[in-house]
Amino acid sequence: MAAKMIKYGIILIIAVLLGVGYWLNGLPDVKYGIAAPVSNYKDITVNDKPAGCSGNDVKTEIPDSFAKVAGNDQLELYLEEESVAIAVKDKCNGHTWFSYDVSKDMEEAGYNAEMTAYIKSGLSIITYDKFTPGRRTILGDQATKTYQRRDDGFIATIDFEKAKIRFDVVVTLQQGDVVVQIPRESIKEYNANLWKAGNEDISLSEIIVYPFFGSATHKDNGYMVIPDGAGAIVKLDKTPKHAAGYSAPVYGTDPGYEGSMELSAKGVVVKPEERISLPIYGIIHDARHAGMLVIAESGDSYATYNYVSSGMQTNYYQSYFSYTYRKEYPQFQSRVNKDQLVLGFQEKPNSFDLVQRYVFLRGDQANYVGVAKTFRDFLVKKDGWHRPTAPKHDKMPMKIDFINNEVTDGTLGVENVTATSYKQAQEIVRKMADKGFSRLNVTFKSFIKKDAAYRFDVLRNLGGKEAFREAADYFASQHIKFNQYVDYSRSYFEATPYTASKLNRQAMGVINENKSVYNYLNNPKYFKVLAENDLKAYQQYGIHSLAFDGFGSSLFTHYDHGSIGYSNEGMAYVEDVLKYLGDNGIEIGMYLPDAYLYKYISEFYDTPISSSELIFIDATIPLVPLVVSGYADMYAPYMNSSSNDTDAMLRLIEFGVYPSFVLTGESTYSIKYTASHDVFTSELQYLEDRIDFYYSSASKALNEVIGHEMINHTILDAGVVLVEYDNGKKILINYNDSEYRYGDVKMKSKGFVIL
Amino acid sequence: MQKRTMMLSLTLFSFVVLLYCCTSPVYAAVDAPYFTYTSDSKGFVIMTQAAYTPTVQISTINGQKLETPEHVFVDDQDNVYITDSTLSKVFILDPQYRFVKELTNDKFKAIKSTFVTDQFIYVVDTSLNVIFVLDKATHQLLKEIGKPDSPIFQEGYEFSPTHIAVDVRGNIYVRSTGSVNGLIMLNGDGEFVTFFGANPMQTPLLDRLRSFFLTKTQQDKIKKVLPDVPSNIAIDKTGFIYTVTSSVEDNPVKKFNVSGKNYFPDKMVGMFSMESVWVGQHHNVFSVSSDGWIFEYDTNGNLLFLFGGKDFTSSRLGLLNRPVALASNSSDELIVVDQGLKLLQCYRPTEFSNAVHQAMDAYQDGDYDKSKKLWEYTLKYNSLFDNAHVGLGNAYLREGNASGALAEFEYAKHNNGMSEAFWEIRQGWLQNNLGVVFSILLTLILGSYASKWLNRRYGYVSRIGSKLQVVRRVKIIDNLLYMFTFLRHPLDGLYHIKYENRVSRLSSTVIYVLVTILLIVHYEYANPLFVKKQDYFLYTLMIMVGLAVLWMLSNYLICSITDGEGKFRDVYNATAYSISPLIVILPPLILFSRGLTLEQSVFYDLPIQAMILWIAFLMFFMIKDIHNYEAGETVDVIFRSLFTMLVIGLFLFVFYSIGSQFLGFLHDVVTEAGSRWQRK
Repeated sequence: MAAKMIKYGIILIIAVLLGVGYWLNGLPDVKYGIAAPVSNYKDITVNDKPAGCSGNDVKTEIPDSFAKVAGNDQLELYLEEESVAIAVKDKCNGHTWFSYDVSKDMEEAGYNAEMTAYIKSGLSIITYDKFTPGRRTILGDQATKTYQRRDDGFIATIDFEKAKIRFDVVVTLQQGDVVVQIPRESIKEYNANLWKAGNEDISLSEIIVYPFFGSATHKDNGYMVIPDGAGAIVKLDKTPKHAAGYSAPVYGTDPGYEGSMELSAKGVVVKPEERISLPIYGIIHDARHAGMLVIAESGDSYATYNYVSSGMQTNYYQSYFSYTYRKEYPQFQSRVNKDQLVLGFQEKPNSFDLVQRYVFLRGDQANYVGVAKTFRDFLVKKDGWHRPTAPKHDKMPMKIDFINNEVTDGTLGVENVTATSYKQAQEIVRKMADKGFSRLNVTFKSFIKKDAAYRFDVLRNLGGKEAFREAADYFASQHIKFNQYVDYSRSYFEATPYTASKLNRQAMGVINENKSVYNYLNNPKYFKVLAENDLKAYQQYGIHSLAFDGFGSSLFTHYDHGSIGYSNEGMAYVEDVLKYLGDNGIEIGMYLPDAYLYKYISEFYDTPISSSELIFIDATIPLVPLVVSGYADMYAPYMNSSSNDTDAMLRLIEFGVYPSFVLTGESTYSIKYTASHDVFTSELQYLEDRIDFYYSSASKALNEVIGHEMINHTILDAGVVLVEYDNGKKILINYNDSEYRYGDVKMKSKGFVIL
Repeated sequence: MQKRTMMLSLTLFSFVVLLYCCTSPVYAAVDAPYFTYTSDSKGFVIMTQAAYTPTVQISTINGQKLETPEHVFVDDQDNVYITDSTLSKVFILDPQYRFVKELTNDKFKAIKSTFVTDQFIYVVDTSLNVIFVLDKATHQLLKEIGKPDSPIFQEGYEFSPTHIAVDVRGNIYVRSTGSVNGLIMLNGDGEFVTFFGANPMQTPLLDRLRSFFLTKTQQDKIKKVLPDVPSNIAIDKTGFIYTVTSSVEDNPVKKFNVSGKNYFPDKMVGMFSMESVWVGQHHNVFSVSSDGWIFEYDTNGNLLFLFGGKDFTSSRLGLLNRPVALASNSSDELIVVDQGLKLLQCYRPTEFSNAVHQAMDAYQDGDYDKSKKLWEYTLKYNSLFDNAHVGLGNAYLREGNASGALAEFEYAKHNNGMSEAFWEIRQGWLQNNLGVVFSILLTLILGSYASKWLNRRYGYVSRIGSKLQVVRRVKIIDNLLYMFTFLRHPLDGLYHIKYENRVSRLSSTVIYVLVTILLIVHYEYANPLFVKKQDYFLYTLMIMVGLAVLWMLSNYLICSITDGEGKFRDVYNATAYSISPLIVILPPLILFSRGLTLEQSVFYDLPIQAMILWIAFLMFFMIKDIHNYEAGETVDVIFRSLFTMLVIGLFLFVFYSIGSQFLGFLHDVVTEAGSRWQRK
């Protein structure tokens, strides 16, 4: 009996040791903590050339309630103390921008007291009263204001006494820019009993910064520039086309606050909206005369862009950012019953300094091209983003991604699926080169079973080391750019030791709506660990260029061992890993990067070529391409899935974006039951004609402007667009089914002409 | 100058608005704001190229904003009829969606829908419960059709028409609210003919069980379960009636012939709350759900396209809010009535869906050459499109290219096609190699005779046999080879196993392993025509092994309390040898199945069934003889064992649920304690 006990005892101990060993081994020991970048807003001025501003002294009626608090060569800043409303007079074009419509008596105009207070108050906050969100305005809540004057502006300490929330707003002039700043350390929730039982619990959720600054009932020659997808404009018509609102988080939704998500039984999903990848919006009051670019400079990852059309809440068209400091999240109380939950709240508001910059656009700059170019100048000044000295290509390149390996549920468990062996990829590239597709940019993409993610490994089923080296050597010998696709931000299907936790401490599972599969987002502290692990292999196999996916939608607030990680720290982690790889000689390309990463990339993949097609917009514009053009090569999303090749090809020409395809050596059926099931045609034999169509048509136009910057974009007529480049070339594009005449130039239907 | 152009374009723009429409983006959307899906040959939903792209939205007609648009109908000349119940009007637009006329009448009270034939316009009023019939040319009111005189309606059966369809003979099929008997069929004069196309009653299993125990009075007391009432109807040119039922998910759309037989499958890709149905130009059927999903089925009820969805957070062009009706015109443009947004949303087919439609038409018309080209074209856009591969396969078959056809059918996993193509290939091979086949057969026959003759002369078989006895000295091999003796003389075999310890646990284990391997090989390599592939066979295999273990355990337990003599070892060994027919039959069958087509499935099915019977027979005698029971006792023991399996299974399930909850709880406690400890 005793012997038996000893036997079982030993087995038990071994099992426990194995378990503990596995547990310890599975968790890389990395402490969370990185300093979020401190905003260097003081060092930057976008409008730093005051040329010709002084002479333009048009009289504008500024009510007496506004007092001048600062002024320089370009701007004058006025403050209404009661409401913290501001007015900015632009001396360069004589236009005065108000934070609300001072020409109207709001009560006479029929607005109730609450709405009037919201319109007039410079700042408003959203608070949670226990669990219910509600808006509080400076005037409506009779918040106390204490002012300190500065040479370049003012500091207002705003105390929402009823809510026991206090913060400072610093509004300053920086030559031609106005900077509004709310330092994080000034935000105080000074209710000593907050979060204690039996308390009212009023906590801060959002700060809305000057929601009516630049708002207008209508402007004949004005429009809003919306950062949705590629970019869009809404004209400020008297009667809006659709009285509708739109609100979208900058850099995508923060999944850290979400509960668990479930795929629909049939796997059908509503297509997600295009992501906002630029932290900006523009308001043009008078095209070619007066406009404004607004940049969420710090706190961008917590900013939400809001558009409200006239006729929705008020008679004003509005664009503004609100900033999230806290959001409710579902804290589940039962493993089995998903309905059993309470709302949870983080103890401290999100940790970021809010900096929002207004850059005033004058003359020719006052249009959406000006908005884009001014923001580009801002990035150049802020991040030291620089333009490549020499053009990389002499002809239009084309991007070919190969899906090499995928995994699927096989007969006896998860199995590798060979979609394209290294040799097949090499052969396909050779065949394409023979057919005249000369400037290819090739990417290998492999799903690695043990990581449950797209990472780098040389796999035996794809041909092993020899074949990989042979393919890489072949690409090098033919001067074909070769990249390896990696995604450090997520795993597929299952959580891994790298997976982050949501605020409710569940694994950071999200639905990848484009693929209808589950993804688990990694804790950003591991990004560098993953890169360090892989670097040796990159060097060993001669991989000098990585195609990064996932960093564009991996910013979130999360729980990490008793503390909270913020999305601005996530940004710092992403920058950290890119810097590390850059320092080690790795070139970076990225799929739909957010604006703060532009400085690291040489190639921009998945360039947005459409907006979300919101019903109220008047046109989709190439806002992102106008920012990036000339600074990085832009490649389109895979054109495999385009259903309208002619229009899509014209769009590539209009936006200055190079075509891109995804291919497999085996039949597309081989990846039907894998994470790449959203690819439904990938064999060269079927795609060849379409690739040829895109390549030959688009290259006719884009070869002319290769390496040059798009400097202007004009919508001439419905469906007719003119783009201009800095080498003097102009491309005229006609999307219509009928011929179009532009001066002496006759343009075919669905065609383009180079001028 | 620029201002003037702007003014001019503004004026032009407002003119267009006044005319008919409100949205015209500066240029067409490159990409649709929704995903499009299709179904594969197994009925799974997969992604595909956009089939339709959104075009215009119509919210204002002739200067009037739509208030409660209810219905849209497109007649054979592509004129569009839009019914608005609040305005009590039917707007008529020409094929380019330009306003032509509005139909009003003092008698209209709450009009809901229209149906237009070559001669008449039928307008349904849901407040008056009347169908107005107007002359199509003059728009004069000709007659009103109200509640029929038939006794069933006079006795109180409701007549509340909402939608109608009219066949070529003028018979009217009425969809009436609450009509559980189905559609009401009236003749041209409005006289009741019959009920038509009711949904079957769907009583929940529990209710059916309960009603079994209840008396009639009790049954009458409980709430009656009524069949689902169709929500909308349509009719095609050949007289098929289509209904859609919003409270059904599996087969919401039905296609009835005149005798009321449904030609659509019982299991199709559908959703709850599908509201409207419309027949297209290519025998295709459209439907829209109130959640904003638009469905297109082919003539057999297979899903061709599915797109749309509800947009909760923003308003994107082409996504719907609360659609209630749809129709298409001769160019396959779709017009959907969105009551939520109070507008009509139009969609245009893409090059891809045009090719699919044309290929379907060409194939139906027997123009295989044309269909082949079109299917090849569609593959450029979606090479996972099973319909295209099936179409191509059929075209290849007709061309005599059987191997090409087989490849196409294999892609689409189209069993009938694969079988047919393989039949052709086999036929061709046999024809070409008949000589070889016969020579081999002849050689074999001659060889066997020669061998027999030679053996008689030299007796080498027995000599080789005695030499091979050396191998049998290896115990495990001997034990395994005993399997054949066992199969020939099972009763003796069981006796030897029980009383003489003829086999070992090792050899039985080897048999279990061999059987498992063979099952995997069978799954993987038998002809796919006969073996259904799931994604994850290991799971099925584990269940099989689990059941086998459970069976052995419960059988042993039952036998040990019912005076069974067998030890567990005997049960283990005898069971292994009882399932050994698998080892004898499966390997040749797997090979043989590769050469069969669907028509010869009997040659696959029969051996499988024979094998199962054989195993059942052996198992029965295994229990009987090992435990020394009478036949009756054995049956009794088998039932008791099955019952025990059920009990153990239930116990394990409960144990698993509680256990995992308990482990989860422990994990929570440890994590919580750990995190608190770390924070300290």
